[in-house]
Parts: sequence; C-alpha cells; structure tokens
Amino acid sequence: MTEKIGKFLTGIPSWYLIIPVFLIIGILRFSNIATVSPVSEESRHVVEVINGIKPGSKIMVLVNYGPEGRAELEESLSTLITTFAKKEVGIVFATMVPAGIETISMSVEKSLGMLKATEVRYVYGRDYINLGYIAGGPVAAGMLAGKLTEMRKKDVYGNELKNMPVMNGINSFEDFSGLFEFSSMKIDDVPGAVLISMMSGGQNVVKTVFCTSDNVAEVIPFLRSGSINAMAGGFRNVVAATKLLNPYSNDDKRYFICTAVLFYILIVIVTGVIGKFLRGRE
Amino acid sequence: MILSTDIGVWIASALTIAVLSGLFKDNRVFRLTESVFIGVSAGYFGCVWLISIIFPSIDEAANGNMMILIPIIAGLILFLPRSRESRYSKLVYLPAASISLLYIAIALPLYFEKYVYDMISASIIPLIYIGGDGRVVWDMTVNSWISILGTVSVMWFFVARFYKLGNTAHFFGEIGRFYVLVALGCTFGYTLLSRVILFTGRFDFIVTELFGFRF
Repeated sequence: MTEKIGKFLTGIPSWYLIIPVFLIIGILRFSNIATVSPVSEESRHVVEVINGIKPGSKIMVLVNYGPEGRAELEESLSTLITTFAKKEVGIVFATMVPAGIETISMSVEKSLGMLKATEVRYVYGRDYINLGYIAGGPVAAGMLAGKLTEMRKKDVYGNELKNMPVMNGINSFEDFSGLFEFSSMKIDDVPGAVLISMMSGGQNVVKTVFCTSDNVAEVIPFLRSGSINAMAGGFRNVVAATKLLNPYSNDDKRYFICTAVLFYILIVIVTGVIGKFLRGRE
Repeated sequence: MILSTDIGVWIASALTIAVLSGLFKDNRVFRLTESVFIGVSAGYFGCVWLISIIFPSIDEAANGNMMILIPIIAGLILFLPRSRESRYSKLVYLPAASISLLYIAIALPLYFEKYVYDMISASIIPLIYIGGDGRVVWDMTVNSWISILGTVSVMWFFVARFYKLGNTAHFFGEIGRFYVLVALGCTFGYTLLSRVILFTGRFDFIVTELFGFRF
C-alpha cells in the first residue's frame, strides 16, 4: 500500500504542480479576504525616518532595480514619492544600474497618477530631477558622494543642472537630508547606499534602504554595523512600511498570496520527500 | 472585463506566457523568447551606455576638456590585438594595471573598514545590553551572545575542516556548520519568495493590464 502511494506521489509530472499555483493566486486575488500585514520595528523606524525629513528639504533617491524588482518595490517607491511630494520635498533621482532609468520614469508616472486626485502639482525641474545612469561602480559612488555638481552637469534629458530650481543649494552629497535606495541588485558586490556611505565621510545624511527579499541577507549586516540607518528589507517589511505611509495600498494582499504560494511549495517539497521515503529511497 | 488595446501589453503578455511554457517542456517558443530577451537586453544596455557615457564624453572633448581623451585612449588600447607577434600588444597591460591600481587604492581601505572592522565590532559589541533604566536587557544580551557564538564557531568550522582535532573542538566546528546551514536556508527562502513575488507580479500584469480586471 505504502509502495503504491509512494509510486503515485513520485509519479506526478513536475509541470502538473504549477496548476494549483495559478488556482491559489486566482482565487485569493478575486476574493475579499481581509489581510493584515505584521508591522516590524524596522518598518516603523523607516517610516519615522521618512516622517523626520523636513518639508522643503532635498533628498536623493537611488533606484537600483529593474523589471525583476518591480513587483516588490514599485508600489513603495511610488508611495514614497507621493509622500514627499505632499511635503514639498525636492527629489534628485539617480540610478547605478542601466535598467533603473526606465524604472524611475514608470514610478514617477505612477506617483503623478496618485497625485492627480489631490491639489499637489509635482513638476520636473522644480520639484524633482532625474540624473540618470551613473556608471563606474565604486569610483562613480565616490564622485556622487563628493562634489555632485562637478561630476554631473546635465540631467538624463540633457538639461543643465544649474538651470534647475530643485538643484538650488545642492553642491555635494552632504547637502541632502536623506538618501533612499530601492535595490534588487548590488553594485560591485556592495549595496549602492553602503557604497555611497563608504565613500562619503559625513554621517549627517540619513541612509535608508528598501530591498527585495533576495537581497536582505546582504544588507542586514550593514544595518547592524551602522553603515545604513534604516532598512525595509524583504517584501514583508516593504509592504508594512508602504501600508503605514498609504493605508489604501493593496500590497498586503499580494504578500498574503505569496505566503500562500510559498506554503504550497513547502507542502510539495515535504510530500515529495515522504513519497520517496515510502518507496524506500534514501 | 475590458481587453487592452495597447499592442505593448499584448506583446508583453504573449512573451510572459511563452516564458511560462518552458515549465511544461522545452519548446521553440520558449527558446525564441529567451533569445528575444537576451537581444533586447543587450540592445537596451548598449543604447544606455552610448547615451550616458560615450556621447557626453565626446561632448566634453568637443568643448575643450582634453583630459577626457586619456580614459578614451586607455579604453581603446584595451582592444589592441594580444598576439605575441604584435609589437604593441604589451601596451594592453598599461590601462589594465591602472584600473586595478585605482580600484585597490580607492576601494580596499574602505572595504576593509566597512566589511571587516565595522562588521566584527557590530558582532561582538556590546556583550551586555543595559536598558535606559540601568538594568540588563536579557533578550538583547542573549541575542548578542548567539551572534558572537555564530561568528566564532563559523570561523572555527573552516579551520576544523583542515585539521584533525579533538572531540570538543570538532563539536564547536559542528555548531558553526549549523549556523552556515541556517544562513543558506534563509538565503534560499528569501530567494524563493522573491521569485514567487515576481511570478505573482506577472500574473497581476496579465489580469489587470491585458484583461482589465480591477481589484
């Protein structure tokens, strides 16, 4: 009997196992399940840092992710831009990965869509600017952390930075109130914000990292060692921080679905092992 | 349900389904999509580098900043033929050595500080946590000691692998092995979660953008 069960379990073609994933995602997506995402201390601290940025100040946002991190980080980036737009905080966008240029445009577009319902007008050049792709890894980070306006004279569209009102009072990295990095990849094996933290001597600029789940293990040690000040690492913490900033966000439902799919994968793995065990394999 | 009229959404959805068809078995559509992905990525990155690096450098040179010519020439030297017969082939070593030296000079001291010094300090300090009221915070103190035990035992594990040691020393190395396995398990779990999120993101894209369902 056990041999038969084992033979049945191990005999299921592997591609059949993907079908329940579609069912789980579909059913949960269309149902009205109330989900509550747990809020960790890290997420609260990130929100405190965001709330601590004074209205009218300037911040830098490093967007170091491409399409692979979109599902995890786009909602939080758009929420962050919207939050700062309402506070009239100037944002200087930059990226250290080529795919980041497109990501910045899409997130800003989404934020402007969110702001349409309000009376806030967020204007390119006056309120925000996109410096584009900054190539060169640690050397570029060193220049970015030093004399910013000497390193970069034009934005991604070829406009002179000195003609942009948002750049008034910004000469070096030290003139920013905060650095926020959204990352799904590392630059020369180091998270971008950490690289800038290494290169900039000053500790006045608060550095916060939002990273994807596969980057958490890489960033946590730098949070403990003080290279960065706050971190929302992994989908769970990113969702929690987003939800605290924007209670209408539906990211927590997506987190709930992902948890359900992961639970299913766990069941598949355990069942597979039991199947092999019942057939007498090691 | 409102079907999208955007051709880009249709192409993206078709490519997503084509990639997922690889789960069933390897097929021509999957291989075609794979090639399209590689080609589009290479083309996109090429354009970004051309617009972000090459064109601004040419602009700088045209505006009289001749210093920019030094890295351009150094970069071109890297493409010299490397055959032994070629008279100038050894010139390739010049820019390559400059890049390595520059990288070591800038990065090494900083990497040592942030990776080694700060990390070790954060792992072992403080040994005892004292709260605001002057009392010992036991959970944080235990946490700190677990961290110290992990750091030392993992380092010991790599030493113990190469020498025949006594039972106690071997056991301490085994604790380190346990920590390594936990770390690998965490990394695997996080990576799996990341891929699942990517998958649900594509599902959301097809359902909301292509079929127009709003949640």
